[in-house]
Amino acid sequence: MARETPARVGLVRGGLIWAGVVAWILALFLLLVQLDVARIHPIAGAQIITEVTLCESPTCAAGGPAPLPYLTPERFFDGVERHHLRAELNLEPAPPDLQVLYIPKFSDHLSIWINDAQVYQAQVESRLWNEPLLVDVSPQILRAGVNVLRMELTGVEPSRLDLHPFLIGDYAALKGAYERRFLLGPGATRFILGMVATLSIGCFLVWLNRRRDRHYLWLSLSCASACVFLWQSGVGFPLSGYKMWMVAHTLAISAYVLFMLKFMRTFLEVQLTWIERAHGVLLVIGAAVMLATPVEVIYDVSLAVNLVTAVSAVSTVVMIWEHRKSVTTVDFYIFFPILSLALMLAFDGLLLSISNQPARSMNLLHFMPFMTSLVCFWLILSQLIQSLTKQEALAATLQDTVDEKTRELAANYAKLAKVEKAEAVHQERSRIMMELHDGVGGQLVSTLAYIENHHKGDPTLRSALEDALRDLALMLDSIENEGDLPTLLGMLRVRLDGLLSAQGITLNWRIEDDLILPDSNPSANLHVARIAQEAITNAIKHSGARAITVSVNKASIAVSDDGAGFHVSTALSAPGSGRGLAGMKQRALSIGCTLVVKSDESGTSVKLSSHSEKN
Amino acid sequence: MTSHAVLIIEDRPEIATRLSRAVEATARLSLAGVVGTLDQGVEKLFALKPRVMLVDIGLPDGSGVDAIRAAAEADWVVDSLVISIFGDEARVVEAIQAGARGYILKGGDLDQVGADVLSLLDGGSPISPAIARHVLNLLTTDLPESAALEQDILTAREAEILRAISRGYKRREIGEQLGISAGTVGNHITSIYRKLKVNTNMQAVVQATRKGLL
Repeated sequence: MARETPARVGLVRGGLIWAGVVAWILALFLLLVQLDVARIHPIAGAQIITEVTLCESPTCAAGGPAPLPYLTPERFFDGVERHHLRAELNLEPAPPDLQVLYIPKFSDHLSIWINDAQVYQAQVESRLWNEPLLVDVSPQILRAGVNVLRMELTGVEPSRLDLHPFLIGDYAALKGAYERRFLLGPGATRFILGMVATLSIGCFLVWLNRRRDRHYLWLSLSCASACVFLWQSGVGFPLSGYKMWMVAHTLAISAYVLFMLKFMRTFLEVQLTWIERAHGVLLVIGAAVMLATPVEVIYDVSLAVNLVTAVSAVSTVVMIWEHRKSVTTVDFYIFFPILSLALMLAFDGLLLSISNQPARSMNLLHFMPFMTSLVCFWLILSQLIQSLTKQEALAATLQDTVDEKTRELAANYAKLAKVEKAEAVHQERSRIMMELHDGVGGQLVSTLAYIENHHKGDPTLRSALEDALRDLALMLDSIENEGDLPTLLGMLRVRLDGLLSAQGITLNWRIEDDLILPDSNPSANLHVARIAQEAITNAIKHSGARAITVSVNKASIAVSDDGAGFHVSTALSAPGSGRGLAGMKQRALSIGCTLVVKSDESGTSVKLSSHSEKN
Repeated sequence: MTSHAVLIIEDRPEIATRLSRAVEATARLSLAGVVGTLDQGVEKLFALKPRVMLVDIGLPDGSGVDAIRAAAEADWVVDSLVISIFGDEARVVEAIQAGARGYILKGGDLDQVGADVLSLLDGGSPISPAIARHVLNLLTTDLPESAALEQDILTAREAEILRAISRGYKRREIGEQLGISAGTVGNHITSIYRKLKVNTNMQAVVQATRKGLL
């Protein structure tokens, strides 16, 4: 029992992919065979000739029938090979208009006579094997009934000759078919040659500027290789000789596939495969062998090189399938089918050259570089578009980040400026406080101590100094605790402790809740503290009370005593004496509160009410 | 009953004299020495090893806080008290963090000074509403994520007592409200002072957080 090792599993999987790709290419190939785009078929208004007589001499005294396509066996001797063919055209009646002979496919050269008048002379110097022929036939040389058509098929180079079914008829009837076939063959080849040459130069220039992007170089070289075999079939090979033609053709296609494989590998960022390495080595060996081989076996050697090329070409498609995740889905769906089609065309070309009896009359190999180059170019474009889009997105994100950070920075600066300003104010205030505290405060305490130590000064002076010290303490407290009314009131009590105990007055301290002002701010807090201070001090100093009660809740602060009381209206209207009360009322108004003062024999009550709580 | 030796470090002569007299006039206190500079103060501290040190913060040759730190490191029992004009929270809290037991007001009654020192020795640290508020702000924060921090530093009872003090209530009144003795309230305050000293680093963090620096 074979163990399912990972290596074995990988091998099996790789084999399956290869088989799958080959099956897929074969399916495409069968489709192409089915379609047979370039088949030669009868055309209305024309006579198709599908059989000729193969003559033994130019005069064609004797001969046997030869069905078209007629193919000669391979030959490798020097000199010109000639085949004489004869056909009888039955024209009834004699056509009055210009007639044409449309010969879709033949090799290599053809001279034609009708009724012993030569209508076409072989162009021995240059002719393309895939080029159709359209020969004018003057109606004057034609006659009603049987017309004799003689052809001389010649070959100056080794290889085989062929003649496919051909047609004779009105120029109008055959002109279209000829032009279409020309366009599909040499026409398309020349167009593709131009395109691929441009692409090759373009990619090379890009590579010169971006040496690290090797895939441009491989695409350029691959296109350059394509130019060689496209030139051969679209323009004509300048080098004479069948052997050199074969060497150039075989090696160009092989190099083309090798560079395409390199392009794919570089583009998909895949490791170098052994197939690619083997291909490169075999290509060099193949070139050497082909150049050294006698012309008789050049075709077989070429076939061996072509088979290596074919394996390499399949591996390219396999590679794309295996790394389909490396490209976008759209790119894969464009790339995989088109490269498969290209590979199929290459197979088609290979099979056409292998089979002695080609099923079809036209090699479409020149469409292979067209397809591959286009999709490769698209792949590069797609990558470019993707990276541009990414770059734009990145730039946009970057811009957003910059904007955001700029805003943050601005906010931070604003905050910092505010903090710095607050800090400066705070420092200045601290400095003034310190001077009041240590300077004035220290002086007052020191003076009081002096009076006490030396028993000097009268009680009024001492009391005035104590009042000043208390006022200073309250002032400092109110500044220190300006943002915190409950603490401010608490400190007020502490500062008045000495005064209260000196007078023997009890203070009832009742804080139910913190007073809520209509507009709470340090200044409003100070006003409230000053009102309370004034009310308590008045009670201590003037009322003769035994007890003072301070009550605070959310809505109000009240100071009441059990003292003698006074006439409120008199106190308010009397100049001088009422300044304290009037000032308290004024303070209350300024912070949106009301102050109610009630006084009778049983005592006085001063109540500050916050408006906000009344409603 | 033994008499507690008191060292006074105060640069204003009149105030120093007055404090000396207050100490001498108090039955359980005796005057160990009076100096006017930090240098002399620290020297006398170790020479006389007093039981109580009264120290002014603003001395000609440095801060009284240094003397408090020195006393905190001393190998005999010595309580430091800050002599303050007004009992202003910033300096008092700084002194407490350095190891002071509390503060006495130099502007108060002569009798009061002696009584304050004695009450301090008996465990009653003085605390004003502003200092209570200051300590609350230092050891707690309004930030919700720091709720755990407040719990860690102050007990609910301690925070409650601090809030009551900040509103002007006296120990006796707070004791009545909470159904505990004024002495117990005093113990809580002593405990709070101790935490204040221990949590100096924590306060730096809390303060920084409040100021928006962190």
